[in-house]
Amino acid sequence: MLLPSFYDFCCRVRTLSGINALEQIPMQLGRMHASHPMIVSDKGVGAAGLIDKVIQALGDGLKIGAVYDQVPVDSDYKVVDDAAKVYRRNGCDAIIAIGGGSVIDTAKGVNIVASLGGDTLLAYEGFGAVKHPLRPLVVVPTTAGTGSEMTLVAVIADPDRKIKMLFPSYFLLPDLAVIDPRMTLTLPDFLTASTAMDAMTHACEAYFCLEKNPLSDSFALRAIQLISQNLLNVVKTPGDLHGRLALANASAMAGIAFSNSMVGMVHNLGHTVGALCHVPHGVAMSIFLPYGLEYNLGKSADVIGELLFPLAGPEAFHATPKKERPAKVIAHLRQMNEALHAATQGKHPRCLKEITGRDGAQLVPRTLLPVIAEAIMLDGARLTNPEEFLPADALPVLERAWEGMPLGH
Amino acid sequence: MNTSRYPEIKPGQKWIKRFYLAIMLWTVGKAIPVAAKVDKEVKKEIDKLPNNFTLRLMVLPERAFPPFFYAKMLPAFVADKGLLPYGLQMILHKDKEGKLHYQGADPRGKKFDLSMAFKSLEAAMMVFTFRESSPTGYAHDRFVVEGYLPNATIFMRVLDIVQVYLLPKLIARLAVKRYPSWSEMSPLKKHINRIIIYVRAFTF
Amino acid sequence: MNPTSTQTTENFEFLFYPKVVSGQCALENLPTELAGNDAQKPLVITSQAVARNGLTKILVKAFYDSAVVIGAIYDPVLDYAGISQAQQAARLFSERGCDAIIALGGGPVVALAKAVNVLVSERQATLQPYYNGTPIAGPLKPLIVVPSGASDGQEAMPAMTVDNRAIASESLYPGVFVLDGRVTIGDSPSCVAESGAIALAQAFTALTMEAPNPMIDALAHPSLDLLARYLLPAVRRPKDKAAGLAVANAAVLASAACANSGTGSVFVLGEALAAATGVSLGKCLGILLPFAIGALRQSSRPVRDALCLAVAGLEGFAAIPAQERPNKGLEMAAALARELKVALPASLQALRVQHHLLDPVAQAAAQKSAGRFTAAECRAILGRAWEANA
Repeated sequence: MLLPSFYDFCCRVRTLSGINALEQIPMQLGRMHASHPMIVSDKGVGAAGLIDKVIQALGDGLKIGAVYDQVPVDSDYKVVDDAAKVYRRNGCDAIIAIGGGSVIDTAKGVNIVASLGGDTLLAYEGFGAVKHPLRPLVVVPTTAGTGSEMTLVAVIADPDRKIKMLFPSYFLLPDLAVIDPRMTLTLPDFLTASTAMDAMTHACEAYFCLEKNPLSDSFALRAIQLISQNLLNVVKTPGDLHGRLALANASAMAGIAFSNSMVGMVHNLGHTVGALCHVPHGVAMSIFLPYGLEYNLGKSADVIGELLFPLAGPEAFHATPKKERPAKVIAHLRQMNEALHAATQGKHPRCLKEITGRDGAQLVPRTLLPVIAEAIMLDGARLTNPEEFLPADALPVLERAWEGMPLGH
Repeated sequence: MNTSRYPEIKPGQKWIKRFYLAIMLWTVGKAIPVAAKVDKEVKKEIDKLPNNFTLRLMVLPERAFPPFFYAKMLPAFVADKGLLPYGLQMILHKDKEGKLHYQGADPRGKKFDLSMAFKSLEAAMMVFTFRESSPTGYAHDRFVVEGYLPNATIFMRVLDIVQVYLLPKLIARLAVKRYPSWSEMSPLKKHINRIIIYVRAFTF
Repeated sequence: MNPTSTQTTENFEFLFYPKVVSGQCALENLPTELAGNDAQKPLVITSQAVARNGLTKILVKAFYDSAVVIGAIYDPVLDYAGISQAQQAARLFSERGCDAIIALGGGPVVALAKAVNVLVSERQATLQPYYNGTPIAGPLKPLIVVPSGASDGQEAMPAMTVDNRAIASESLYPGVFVLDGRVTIGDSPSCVAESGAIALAQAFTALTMEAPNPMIDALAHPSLDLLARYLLPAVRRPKDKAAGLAVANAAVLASAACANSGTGSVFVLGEALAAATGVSLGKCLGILLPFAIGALRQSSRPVRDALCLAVAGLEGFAAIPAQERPNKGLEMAAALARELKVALPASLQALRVQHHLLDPVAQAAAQKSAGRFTAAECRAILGRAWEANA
């Protein structure tokens, strides 16, 4: 853990974690002088009964001002403005977001408009537009993977201009993240696998990408260890509350790590196949992670080798000579993907060609790979990858990942 | 208490560093449109930007100093150098035909589709004296990006290639992650391009 | 870190409030940090010692070519934070129309800055209502801390000690820590050793907490890791920029970890001793720490592997057989604390602490610990520390 020449770190999110964490929300909101929260969520979360679970846990101590459960998968500013109106009409004074990335981003956007005034989120576009504290925002993540509860940016689409607007501000960090395993208990096995591998990727990339620092390293190591110790068990025994909690904690810690150290080519590729082929983010992450590590061996072999410690445990780490560790790390991750594939009866894909949509059709046709390779240039994660990563470099990676073959040097 | 013991302090300016950065920004600004003509890699990247697109690279804070009416009296060639009066800026415009132009340092009356701003003079110095490569600068939060992020990554790729042209190999290796092997280009072509960029950047 | 020790079965809570900006050109980030909080005119609070070392000049230089005007540099602080100085600085703050506070230095400077912030943000003339239990409403004005080499371990905590009376409130967290090697250099070996001893005690406390909390571990781990590698070099060469920066980083993280874990037995004992003898907390902790760790080794209290991992590093930890790790961790932490003897007195006797004071100190500490340990245990540690006999 060397001190880098420069780093910055911020995660001013109070974290409550545990099997009864939800019950503590009213007390925590009281500390922030709020008593009338609005719940922001989506239909899927509502259908899974999670909103009811939260409301039940909140008990009588808190009066819910409004429930807005209309957040779509790709949220845009109109949804935000709409929700902000609901917030005002009901005189709410805080927001509780229950859901995954899209819900959390929307809630951040609603908080901007609701706290700073105005009718539309568009007025706050651009860097540094939000520079005052906002109303209390409580986040209850329902997927143990995205880590959005720990990030300071809200990504919200503008369908008219066909762009994604970024709202980065430290004031957008939630005030409270509530990690309760009851929220992830009903997640099906293949989603548990892919979201956990998403968190694993956050932690691994945080550990070897350009802005790594002692704090992000420390959070990343612990996250990797928790996932590697618990993931397979949880996929096999979905009702394991302690295992679920460990994964949810790991996801939050990976979120802290990557939001302070940025990500690299694995996310670059993942974002691109997500945008072009609608591959679920977690699935793309689990497939590309071994390739990302392999590709960066030239510049970061030592750092990548250290990942063997949390992945395989200290004894295996000690027993492996330093030179062989990086290869072992990559092999270990591939093995994990294989094991998850087996444990989910093939629903967790191991390579791009195995990814299928709802109708069973292949999501990533081989002919599209050159287009994907060109499109990687549009994503910022390319910049923080240790090794230069250009379309000509991406194509062989994509081809191997399509087949499920190691990169080889 | 005698409050005059604790006077108000108006921080000054680092003129030499400002001057250095003004020259660097001016050189890069002049070189990019030329590079877009002679280097096919740069051209490919620039083509990805939409037409009628204005971008700038600047050092915060942006300020009208000296006051606005006074600044108007300055001849254009002074304002263009970025020393006065609008702070350090480099403005590039891609017109309707897709041609790139350097537009000096005067932001008046322009609408920017993309702004990349170094947080401070010293942050800009870190990158422009090549103590930090531009990706490292990005990772170290030395600058903030306003606008559509994919366009910023395109611009940073262009900056990388132009730096390779403008700088001797020894220095350029510090500025980019991987020095290109030029395998697709003959050494002769590389040096001819380099000379063209230099000559045209400094003459037109 | 075996599976059972990292798997939390209980609820836990965690907050690491301040943002940390550290490294090259960190000072030059100050204008942006201020702008991000909508502030343009900070009041700088610092101590005479810091001003004497020319650090205020470095700070002013960092604001060159920015839109920031420094409202004033208030620099008469000595080694004590008192209300009269806080009131003076608060008057300066409002007279000049400032909108943020920068604390340049550690310990009393930061405490004073927090006090000034309460006065100006809550529009109060004194801190009296808060001593009497009135909560600080908040939010306060932006407070940025630029630590020097000297720290009292309270900087990153939601608390302040003014006129020797403590006030705790969530609002007292500083917003940003800006750590720059040009400022984090130490005055003298003993000053660095004292700050290091406090950080060491805090990180040790966090990593030996009985209820495991993976996030506190993750925060305290880099702190102890940095101390293990940089504390001795920094004590030997207080002007070494890299070592000084690393120790300052460790101090901030340890302080933040301690804000989560609560003060441990070593700390309570150190504070009681410092209060009874008038010796600085850093010196007390530096002397007590090896003996307190020794006492923990002899007791049957379980110690988690997290301590060993932080102090030994990945490679070192993996090389130690699993069952020996807790003990080895304690041993290495004690060895690290003993190394501070190059700059600190070796025993309480050498500090000229009266032997008859030990009993009342032990009792006071046991009382403050709320039943976590007995006066006899405290007395045993003090006795060994008095004779320097491990």
